[in-house]
Amino acid sequence: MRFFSFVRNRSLASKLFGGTIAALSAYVMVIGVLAYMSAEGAISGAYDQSLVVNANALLFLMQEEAEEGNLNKPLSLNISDENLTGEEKSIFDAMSEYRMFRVWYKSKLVLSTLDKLPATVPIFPQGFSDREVGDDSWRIFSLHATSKNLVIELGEQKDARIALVWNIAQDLVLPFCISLPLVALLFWRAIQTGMSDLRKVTGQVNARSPDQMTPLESSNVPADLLPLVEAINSLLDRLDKSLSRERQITELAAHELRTPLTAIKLQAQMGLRAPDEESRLLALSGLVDGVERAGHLVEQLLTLTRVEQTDFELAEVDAGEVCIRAAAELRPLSERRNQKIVVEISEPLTALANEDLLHLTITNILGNSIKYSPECSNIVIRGNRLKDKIELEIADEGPGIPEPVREKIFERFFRYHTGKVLGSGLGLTIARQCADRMQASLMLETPKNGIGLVTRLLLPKRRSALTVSRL
Amino acid sequence: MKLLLVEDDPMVGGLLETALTGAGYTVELCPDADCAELSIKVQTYDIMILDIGLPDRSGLEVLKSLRRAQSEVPVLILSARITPPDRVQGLDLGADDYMVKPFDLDELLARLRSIIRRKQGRTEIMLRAGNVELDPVKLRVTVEGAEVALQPKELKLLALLLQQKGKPASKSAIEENIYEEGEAFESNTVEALVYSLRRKLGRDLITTRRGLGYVIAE
Repeated sequence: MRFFSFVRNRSLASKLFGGTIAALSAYVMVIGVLAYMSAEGAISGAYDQSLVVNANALLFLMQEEAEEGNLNKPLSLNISDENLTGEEKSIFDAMSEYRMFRVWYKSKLVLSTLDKLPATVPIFPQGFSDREVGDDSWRIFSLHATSKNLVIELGEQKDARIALVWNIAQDLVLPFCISLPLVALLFWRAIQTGMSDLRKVTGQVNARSPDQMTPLESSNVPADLLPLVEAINSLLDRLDKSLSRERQITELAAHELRTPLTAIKLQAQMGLRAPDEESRLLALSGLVDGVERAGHLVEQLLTLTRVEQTDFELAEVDAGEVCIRAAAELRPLSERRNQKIVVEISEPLTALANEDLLHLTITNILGNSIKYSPECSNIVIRGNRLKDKIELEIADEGPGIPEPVREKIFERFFRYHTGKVLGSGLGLTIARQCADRMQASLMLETPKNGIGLVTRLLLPKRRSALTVSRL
Repeated sequence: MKLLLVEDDPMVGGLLETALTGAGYTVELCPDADCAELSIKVQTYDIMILDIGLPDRSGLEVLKSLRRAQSEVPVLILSARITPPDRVQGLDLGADDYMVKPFDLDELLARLRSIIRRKQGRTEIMLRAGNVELDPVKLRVTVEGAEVALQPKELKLLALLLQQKGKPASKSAIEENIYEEGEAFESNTVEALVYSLRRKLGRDLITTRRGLGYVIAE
């Protein structure tokens, strides 16, 4: 397995190198084959022609011998190489083995290179023919001079031709083969030079610290690497944006946490310098309030993080029941302010939601209504079944939220009503996040009579095609 | 000493108001920039504590408009923004000091005193006139080394006159300085305070300048 993965993952340089060398080798092979074929054609032609010429020359000689009556008994032939010089001699020796001739007179063999083709081999037909004799393969030209009773046969072993063709083809291909390692070396160098740009980019990426998000240098990058560098730069850009958003959120949270801490420290210092028991107790109870407030803020921050970063399953939930439960939980708070929470839900409201998220949404909205509405006011929770949605409505008699800030109010730590209420600035942010995670919509409206705030939550009844694909 | 406290958080604001009042300041609390700008227009203050993260505008905007209006009131910024660039920006816009939250109450009070001393061109920490000495840190008054108990308003009046020795303070200036807004006072109360101070510290300390007010001689 490791070997295969190595093959699959082998380096770009070795892939390029392997490819080039393979192509080059194939090229040399094709040249070799073509050279072989072309040499074979040319050599066959030339050799056949020389067979014809020599046969005619021999016929001419033999005609004279026949007219002089020398052919009535076999001639003995003694070809000597005494007149030949060194090189000529070696050529003669090398080739003589591959040649033969026979002269027939009145159907009798009168002259031949006996050992090559014995008389038992009958006369060949007129013209060219190919023949296997023993282990050898021959190319024969047979010239029939019927009027003179003469047949001249010249033959050549095909091996001679093939050897020659091979020699020519080899001479052509061999230089290629010898120079192949050198060419390969040059290719390897060229590829490595090309790869150095890639290595430069890699070096740039490697040299980065995790918080360095400036784009990579792209001015001197070759055109085919540019898309990669641009892709990396766009990734860096997106990372930078999301990181600085995270940093902003953390800074904002730290800033917000400092305020309750300031109150706690101030309260504690005043408790320390309190001149009497009564003011010390007052300072201490203020201290408890301060700690509670800081605790609430931390709690809300953690909740928001959990809602943002956890995967929640959506299932069928009775939204009405969740509302009734949330109202019961918050009733002690509302009763402290003499407020009445009325739940007007009479039928089961089955929605596609997450119980935890829905509960968080309702308690945060309801908590705001209790905090910001005047004492002795009413808070009404209604639920309706629409065609494909479940509608929940929380109406209070508080100061409301004017149109222009209705989107801003969902931003973290944005507070509209400051005054005496100590909010975390996260309640509606959490509610909106929860709604988003449930693919529900959350809207703020002014009731018809113009007093208070209506918060409307629309939950899907069942999975839409979009929901299914997203889950 | 009249102090304008601009702080949006009700808890911090309320506590600071109590603490500063206890330290002898006449405090006015503003929860936002609008309130602060309005207060600056209609009143004069001896010192101002300014938060930057206000709900309607940045506290720095308040500071800018204050300095644009040539006001010389010393400003101490009290902010949850802790980075050096924030502090530099605040100081360069004309703040006299910068403290980050959460802060130490004693340090805040000490810095306020130091700002006031600087503004009055004093290096001496004690406020003195003849044999009378006022300790602005402990808020204690002694005559020839013996401690004399003073009511808070008497203390405020004495501090005011000692801080501007030789310069008379009008009755209305005194009222503005020692009474908080909405605090009911009768027109003869300043006279009553002066009377009681003379009784406790000696007849010659405070001189009445007809038509100009009261003064402690240099």
